[in-house]
Amino acid sequence: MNDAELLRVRRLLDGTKPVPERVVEGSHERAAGRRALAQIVATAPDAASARIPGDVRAAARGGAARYRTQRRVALGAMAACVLVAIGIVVNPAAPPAVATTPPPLRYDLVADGDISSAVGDAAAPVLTRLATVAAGRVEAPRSGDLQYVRSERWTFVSVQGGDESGAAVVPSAVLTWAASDGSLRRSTRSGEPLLLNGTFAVSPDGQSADGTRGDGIEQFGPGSSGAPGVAALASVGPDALRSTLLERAGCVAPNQPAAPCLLDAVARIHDDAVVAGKVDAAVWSVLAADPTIVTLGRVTDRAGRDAVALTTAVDVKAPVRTILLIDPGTAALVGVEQVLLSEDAGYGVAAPAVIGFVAFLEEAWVADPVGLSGGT
Amino acid sequence: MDEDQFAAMYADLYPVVLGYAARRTDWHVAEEIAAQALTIAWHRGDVLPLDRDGRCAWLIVVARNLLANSQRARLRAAHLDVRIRAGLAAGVPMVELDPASIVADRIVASTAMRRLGPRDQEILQLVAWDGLDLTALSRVLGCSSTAAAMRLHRARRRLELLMRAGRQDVDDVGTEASPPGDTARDTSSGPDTDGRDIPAVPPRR
Repeated sequence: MNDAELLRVRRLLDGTKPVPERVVEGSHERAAGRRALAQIVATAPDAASARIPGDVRAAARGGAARYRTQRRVALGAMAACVLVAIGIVVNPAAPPAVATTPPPLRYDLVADGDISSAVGDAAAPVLTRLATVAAGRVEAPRSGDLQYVRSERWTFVSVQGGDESGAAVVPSAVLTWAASDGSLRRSTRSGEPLLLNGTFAVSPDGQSADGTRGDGIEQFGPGSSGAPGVAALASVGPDALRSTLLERAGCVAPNQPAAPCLLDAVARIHDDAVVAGKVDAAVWSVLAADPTIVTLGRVTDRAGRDAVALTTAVDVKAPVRTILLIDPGTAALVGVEQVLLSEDAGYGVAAPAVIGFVAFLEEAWVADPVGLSGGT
Repeated sequence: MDEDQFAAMYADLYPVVLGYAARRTDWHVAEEIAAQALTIAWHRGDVLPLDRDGRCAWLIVVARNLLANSQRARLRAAHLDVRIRAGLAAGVPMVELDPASIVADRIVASTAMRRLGPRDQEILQLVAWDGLDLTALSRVLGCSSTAAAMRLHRARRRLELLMRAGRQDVDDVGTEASPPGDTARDTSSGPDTDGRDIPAVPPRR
């Protein structure tokens, strides 16, 4: 019966195959194939560096310092090996820094440091309070029509297969400018060193805020950014706002847990939009109505700022736990942490592990894509 | 694994991995993906499965992840259909090929395929394009053979429904001048058994 199913599928799709076997037959003997093989075997199959990923959990829980150091060296070596060997080069001129997965932040309600099992407290009272604060926020004056956002990001890049995998990190400073027609300019500067303790040095104002420099400056046409539509979210009503957030997160499956999608959507909105207090208030109110969102208490983020942490309840099944960090004084989102809970997700590192974070450092309405302190 | 052993494996499986990638992206990108996947195999001899089929599935998983990573990075800010974004977020590579390159006389099947969700597309492509059997399919998808068979069955049924709807569209165009009653659609079976709306085919990058 199974063979019949396979045959049936192949018959249905007969003729749609874009590249037939004969095209790739003997490709290992062609110039590109021979060149690739020569380059591969020219690199040493380093057995030591191949033994990854190591037990990140042990390191994160504060195991012996020497163990951590060894693991970091091993992970770093593997990541470097992978980067060199397979040519993942984000910026050839300035190769990205390489580090292990950073340790988790210290949350007030995570007693033993294990975020994967942290229950937290009900978030509704916290979110309701944040909504009130956000609604009363006094917005900074606008000097132009462009929405400017500066963030520091730590992006996980994995190469995987089998039961172990390689991992590398790509820290980057990202600046975006979104125009009213949805066109977007983005400057990405990769390779700023990320300290092994998982913190980074905040660049002095102006150092990063230059849209004319950067490793990669990309320009996207009208309609590329959803930033112009963010302000309208304040007035759509809770149900429509919730639906919009789910759609923005790409959550289209009927039985998908909503909470992870909602948190991801909130993070996405802030990627390139200056989010007004009224929008934040509406969003926090929607989240407050979801009982599967909890707070992990107070935390100091990677840029050294006080924040309140919100995440999904421990019984929400999702491979990655997204944690929103919100400034209690302004009720603005200041950061997002992503913690891997299940190794089934295919990231190739032991869970739990921090597999990415974003720290939002600056946002404002500006007149031109030169940034805040670069000449506007 | 020594160099000779690796070279033998390379000769056997490089074309397979290249084929997998080339069916989903541009040729030059596919060559890079294949080379990267084999590089990882060279450096990860300690975890490489011993049998040929296992290695083949392992390499396809590696190529799949490399491709999805590469596409995520390249398409981060592009306007994509929510299904494609969800697929990329879940590690399912999208097919970037120009539809015109697909054989014209199978346009109904091709069009129907592109209207499926990314996961359905991938399962069908792995079987129809890459020739995977259920064991290999389950290895690539990271599930049991039974689950893979079930997912394949469902994907095939959804494809058939869409193809039926597609043929009806073609027939409708061909009988445009006929009385309305002659072109009535069979509405007993929607295009998607999950009851989800199927948006138009997303614009290409």
